[in-house]
Amino acid sequence: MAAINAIFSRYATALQISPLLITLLFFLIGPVIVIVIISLWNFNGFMMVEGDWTFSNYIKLFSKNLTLDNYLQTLKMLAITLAITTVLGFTLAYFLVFDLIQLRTKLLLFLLCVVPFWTSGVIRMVAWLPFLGKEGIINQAVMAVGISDTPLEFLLFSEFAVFLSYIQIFTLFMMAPLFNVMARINRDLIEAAKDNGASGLQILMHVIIPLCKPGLAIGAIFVTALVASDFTAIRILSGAQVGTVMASMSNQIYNVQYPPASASAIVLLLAVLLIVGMIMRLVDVRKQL
Amino acid sequence: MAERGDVEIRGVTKRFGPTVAVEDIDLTIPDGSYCCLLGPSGCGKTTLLRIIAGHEVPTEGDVLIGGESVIGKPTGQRGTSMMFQSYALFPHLTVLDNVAFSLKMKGVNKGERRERAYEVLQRVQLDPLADRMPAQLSGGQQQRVALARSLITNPKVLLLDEPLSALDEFLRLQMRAELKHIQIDLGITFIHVTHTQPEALAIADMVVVMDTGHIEQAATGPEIYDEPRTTYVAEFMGGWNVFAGKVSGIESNQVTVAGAEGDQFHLPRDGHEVGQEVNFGVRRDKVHLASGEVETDRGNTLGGTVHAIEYQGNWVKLTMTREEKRELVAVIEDREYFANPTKVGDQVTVTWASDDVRVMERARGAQNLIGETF
Repeated sequence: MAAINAIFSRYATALQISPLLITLLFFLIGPVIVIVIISLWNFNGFMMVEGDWTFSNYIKLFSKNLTLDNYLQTLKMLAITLAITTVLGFTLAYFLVFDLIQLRTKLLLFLLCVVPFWTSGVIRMVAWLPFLGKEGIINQAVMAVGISDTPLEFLLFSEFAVFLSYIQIFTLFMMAPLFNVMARINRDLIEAAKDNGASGLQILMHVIIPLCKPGLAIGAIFVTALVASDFTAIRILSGAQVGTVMASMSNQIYNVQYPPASASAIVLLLAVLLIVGMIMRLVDVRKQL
Repeated sequence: MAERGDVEIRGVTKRFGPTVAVEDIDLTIPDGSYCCLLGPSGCGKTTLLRIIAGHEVPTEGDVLIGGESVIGKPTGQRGTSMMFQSYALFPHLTVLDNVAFSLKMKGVNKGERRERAYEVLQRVQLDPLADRMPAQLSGGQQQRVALARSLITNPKVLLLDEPLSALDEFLRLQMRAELKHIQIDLGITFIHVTHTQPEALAIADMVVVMDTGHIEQAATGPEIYDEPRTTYVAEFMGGWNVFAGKVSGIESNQVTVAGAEGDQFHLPRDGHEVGQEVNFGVRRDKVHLASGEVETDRGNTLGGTVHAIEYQGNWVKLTMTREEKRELVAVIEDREYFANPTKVGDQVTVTWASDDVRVMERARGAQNLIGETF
């Protein structure tokens, strides 16, 4: 018994961190290592050759013009989605935190925002079809009112549809961390700013937004990761008109081209880590964790 | 901005839904005075302060600063500045930028802004910490920053919401003296909310005692302490024994009052009528222990049992209980007490002069107050 106790006390720290360590090893580090290994195996055009080590997948990836196009398209979608979800998420969080007084109303409305997440991601995408389709609700309304004689084509199977779905789903990921940091702003600060002669806009610019920075950063990290990793919305709603990094990667996976897909995944991972690193450099996120 | 810093409150009422925070308040605070709003929590003193600052809009009534109505004027343009209980320093700005905040809002250029903020920081002796963040400062230092941030706006009226309550005893006494010093130095009006009686008495030119949304008495410290208008003020300020009774006889220069508990008291004559109910009290330090033969020439005597004796250095606090009657506290000078000491359980008689009895109005409501501060 004493011997067991001695072992426990010697390795107490190691034992305490072991559950998290094991989880991370199995579900994060392990898979990444596997992907790195596969990305370094040769792909002969039909199948991968196990154990045939080569950088050819990376070389091919960087020598294709399509890669740059895909990244530019992904960055464009990320920038636009970030801009819109930030404005929407900030406005919503501000409304919930500062305009509503009753805690019950706040929580109720917050829960309402979560309702779309009660279903799977694919269903959330598919649910747009009857709205945006040629004979969908919006087009019927548009034609009934007489705004247009023909159905609006840009609504579905377009970049627009993808943005719509991104904004619908990802705004919450921006709003939640913003809600969290805003709720922690001491109301006395706003009164103190008024006392010091600040106008409403000045309070927003010099007090509220600076104090929301950590929330903005966490939200931006979420949205970046989600946009960069999405392919369902692209597949279901874009009508094959939008080529992002993930879209081309998912094509390769469908075609069992695992080594090129793995190389693409590693490069995308590094790209996303680069963006996250830049965000973390701009804002000290740790303060809010 | 108002030139003078006198504050006049006319018939101000503030309701929050069905709750009345302050009701029909009339108060004039002279320019350049140090005024303390004093009362227990929930008495409306902070609401009144916030109404003056413009953080609350009164339901009824008017507030004038320097003779001008400020109702409807934005907070930053009343010539007031408020120091918050939580200090409310901007956590994302350095000490210097906190102090310079109002100048930045006015669009003063950076160089001048920093220079002026630095000057004010020097005044509160914080210039060496100008580049720190608020979280790196102690409570006392944060308070000085808050003070500097208020002073830089050149207010005519500085509003202080329980400025000393978060400090430890030593800092509190130091800061209290400093606040008074700054007020005299600047010559502006200070309105200071507190629930600590000695604090108000020590620094205020004008003490406003409040209870449940009303002003019980507004006067100088000595007046409040020596001539409380109501039994509430006497009990809240502490230092008093309060009684009630009915006038039973009138003599040439004094009246006799039969206490509710069967005691007899003598009060100076002041237009009383037989049968009239009176509330009155005597300061604890005017009550003496009767030694040997009872000295009836003092006018009032009461007997009882010594319940507690607390030695306080230059005085001794003696609590006397009297079978199912109100207890009585005497504060006796140390020499007088030790000339004839007693011990717990002794039967004693205390006396006081009828001239030391003060008649007061009955408190508005039944109050459960502990006047044990002294």
